[in-house]
Amino acid sequence: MATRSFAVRALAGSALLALTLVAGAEHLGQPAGPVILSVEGRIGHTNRGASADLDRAMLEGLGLATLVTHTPWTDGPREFTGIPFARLLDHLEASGEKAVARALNDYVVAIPLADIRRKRAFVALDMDGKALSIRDKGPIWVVFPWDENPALDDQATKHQSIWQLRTLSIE
Amino acid sequence: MSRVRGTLRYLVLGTTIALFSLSALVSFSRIEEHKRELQVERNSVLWLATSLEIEYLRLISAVIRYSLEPTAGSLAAARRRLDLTWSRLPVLLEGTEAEPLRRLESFPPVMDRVRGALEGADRVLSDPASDPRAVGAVTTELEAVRPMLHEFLTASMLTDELLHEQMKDRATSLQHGQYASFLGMLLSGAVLVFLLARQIRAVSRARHRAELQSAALREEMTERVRAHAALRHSESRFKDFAEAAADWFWEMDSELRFTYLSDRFEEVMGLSPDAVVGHALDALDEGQQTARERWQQHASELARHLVIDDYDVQWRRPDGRTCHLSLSARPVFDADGAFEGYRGVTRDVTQERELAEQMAHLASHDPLTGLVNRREFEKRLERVLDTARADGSSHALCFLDLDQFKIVNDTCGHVAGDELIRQVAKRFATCVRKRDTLSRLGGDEFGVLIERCDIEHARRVAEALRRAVEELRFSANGHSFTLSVSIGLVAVDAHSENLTQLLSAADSACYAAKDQGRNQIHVYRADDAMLARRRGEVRWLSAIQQALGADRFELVAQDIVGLAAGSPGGDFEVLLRLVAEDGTRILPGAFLPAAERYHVSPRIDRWVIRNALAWLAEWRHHMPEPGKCFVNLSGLSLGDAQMLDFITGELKRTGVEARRLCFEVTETAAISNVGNASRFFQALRDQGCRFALDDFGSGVSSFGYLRTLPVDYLKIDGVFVRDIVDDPVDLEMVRSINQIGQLMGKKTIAEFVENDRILAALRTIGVDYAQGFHFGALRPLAERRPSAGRAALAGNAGDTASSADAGGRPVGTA
Repeated sequence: MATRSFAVRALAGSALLALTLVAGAEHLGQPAGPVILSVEGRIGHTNRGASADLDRAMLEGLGLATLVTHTPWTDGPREFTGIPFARLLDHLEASGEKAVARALNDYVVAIPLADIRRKRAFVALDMDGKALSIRDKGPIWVVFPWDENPALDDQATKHQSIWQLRTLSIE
Repeated sequence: MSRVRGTLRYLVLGTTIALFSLSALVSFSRIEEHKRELQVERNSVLWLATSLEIEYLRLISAVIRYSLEPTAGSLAAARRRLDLTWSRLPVLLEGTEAEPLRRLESFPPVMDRVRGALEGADRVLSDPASDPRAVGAVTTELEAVRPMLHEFLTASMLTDELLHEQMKDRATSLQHGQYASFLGMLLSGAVLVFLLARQIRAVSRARHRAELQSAALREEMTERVRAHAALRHSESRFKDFAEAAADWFWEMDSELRFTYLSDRFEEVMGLSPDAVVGHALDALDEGQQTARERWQQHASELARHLVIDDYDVQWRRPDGRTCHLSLSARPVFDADGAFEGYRGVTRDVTQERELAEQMAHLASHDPLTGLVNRREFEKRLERVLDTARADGSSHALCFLDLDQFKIVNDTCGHVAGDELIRQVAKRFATCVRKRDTLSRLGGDEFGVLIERCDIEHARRVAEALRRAVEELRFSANGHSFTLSVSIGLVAVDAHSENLTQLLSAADSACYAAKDQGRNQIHVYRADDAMLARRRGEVRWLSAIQQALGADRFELVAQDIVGLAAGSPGGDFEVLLRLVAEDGTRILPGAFLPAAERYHVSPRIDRWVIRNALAWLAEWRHHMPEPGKCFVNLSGLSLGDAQMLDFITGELKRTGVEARRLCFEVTETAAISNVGNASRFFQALRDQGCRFALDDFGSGVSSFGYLRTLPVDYLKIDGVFVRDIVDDPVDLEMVRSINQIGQLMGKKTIAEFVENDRILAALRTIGVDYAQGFHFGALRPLAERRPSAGRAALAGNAGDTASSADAGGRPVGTA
């Protein structure tokens, strides 16, 4: 148990989260920095037309957590910082069957929302304390707790581990 | 000593059983492991290498574009492309996924060259003041590395093969392991059987000894019974008989043989007492329908000398009539308490029983159809709901509403209406299992309760019910009617709220099925009604439904021309047009989104398939081999369980060979549901149909999925093809899509071929097929003749049909 390589612990995020929720008439607020993730489709909250545009600060505002795991595309354990995917879905009040995720290079994958929760998908923003750049599969990389759950070592999960994520469409 | 031996025997037995289970377990887990291993085999090595090449090609395109028009925008685009290409490197250099690639000999040098080229590009692109010549040099270097990269991709395909071999070896060794554990199972099984056989023999010997002892005892007893019998008989016989008013009396001896039967026996049973007296009970059992279990229970009660009260039995008389009997009996014991036999009475209760049954049937059944009525149906539904809550099982509830009943009733009167209901009920009865409940709920409404089934099974049953009505030809008073039924389907499981909620859900699902154009099955969803309100596309929906009802669709055909010398021709794609009330043709782009949203696109697809097959049935014998008709399919049809059966059925009905059909599915539709798509493709390909991925190339994801999707053709997205003559980037895109497609063994088709120059460029690249206005305008399929297709190929190449009809674009259903 002591050597458990996977640990998600909420940082001071919950306080921030509470602030974000109270501040402003809008649930989401407006992005101040560059938009790194746009979500559309069956969501309860939007801030630009039918879509929810999020910058890094808005994502961090949901409460940062860490995940330490190996991945099929990196060597050695890596420490990812970001937010549990399910928390993002809840924040946007997403309802539907799947999230169709599209990357900067137009890679598309449909991830069932049930998978996101069951497999505990994680929206990573930093790797080993450094913000993910496009060259490092950033700014957003969806990773999974592979070390904790050996069942995740399958092709479907590898397809779902989309990097350079740019848009989500909840259907 | 014998106790020790006994313990030892059980010990051996236990160990053997444990061994047996263990080897079975090992064998099972081996099989599981085997299966998992084979899944991993679908390794994405090739995909990793391919992605690098695609990104690399896109980078070259972006740099070329920047060198042609050096603006801030094109610079930013090139830098974005550089970053994306760069991101492919760590993926190859690290992690388990790319491990097989790293084992390739050419891996380090290729990586070095690629990195070098990227670093060069990085230097030039990060310096805003860089000289155009430097950009030119970078392009040259990038281009120079490309062939190497491509060779590497080809080599990586070989790795894939190697990997395959490795997997095979591993599978073989697994198989050997499995054989070993199977042998273990056999051996320990044999030992087990031997030990059990010994055990059984020991037990039977012991029983035999005991029987010999008890036989001697019994003989002595019988002697004593006989001595007392005569005396006791006369006293108690009449007392017992008088206890019950009865049809006939009987007596049995201690061996349960009939010794006495009163006079009315023959009258009631239709059997001579002589046939029974002196025989055991079994003599009566012969040829009867009484359930074996019940009969045995009765026999065992007698054998245990119990008092028998009101035992009910059905008796079939030799003359064929069935009567119900009620039987009571008392055991008789002698002064010493030894069993002497039975005395009993039997009554004929046939009339009472039949009356009661009639009453119960009347209260719970519909007199017209003989089906269960609404009250009984709801009672059973309640029972099923209780079961679901108790054991978590799932069931389904169907509401069926005849679509044209009112018309029949109004035009031909109630007698015809009643006859229709009777016929429909009879048809329905053939579609459901015995254990399921079919009910007439009233008027033209029916209900079906399908027990212990998942929603898919229920859907199949509903489909059978729907078809049963569709196939019914009803005529009355010289009118003939085509009928259909709308079906609402609701799952009944532990989550179901209550009876009222279920009934109203089934009702609204049935209503939704009617609303969607009748002759439908609608599975209840909680948000049905809400969604429909939210979207403003109802207008299109009703237009589509009217068009479906009135057959106001039209197919137009466009030739697909083989570019290799000596191509036989004859291929064409059919495109859909909705004919508006005023006769104008509406393109699919306008109405298909609504069709998708409201799930009517599978119905449209059915219309298209039916009509395309009708044409093929008429003309296929005049078509050149292997001429095919390309038909667009919507994404929803891939998930439609009945679509496969429909297509198979239509092929069989029309006699058209499956190889005459090629289905086109947009890559987006295929990718958003890869599982369904693969299954669907595979099932139809097994019959001989072909598949094409439509609008291919808009996302690179496609290349990754390409390996898992069993398709034959790639249709290069027309937006790339249109400008290949003027735009080097588009040319490069088409070239790389074609190249990768060819590498993976797919045929490529270019759409939007509008002039000779595009055609020439496509020929140079090596694309297999082309289609577009260059080969002539679209023609209604109805007017098409197989030879006309070839005329278009040979003739008027200059006629580019400059009309702006976007119909040249085979609008997919995405």
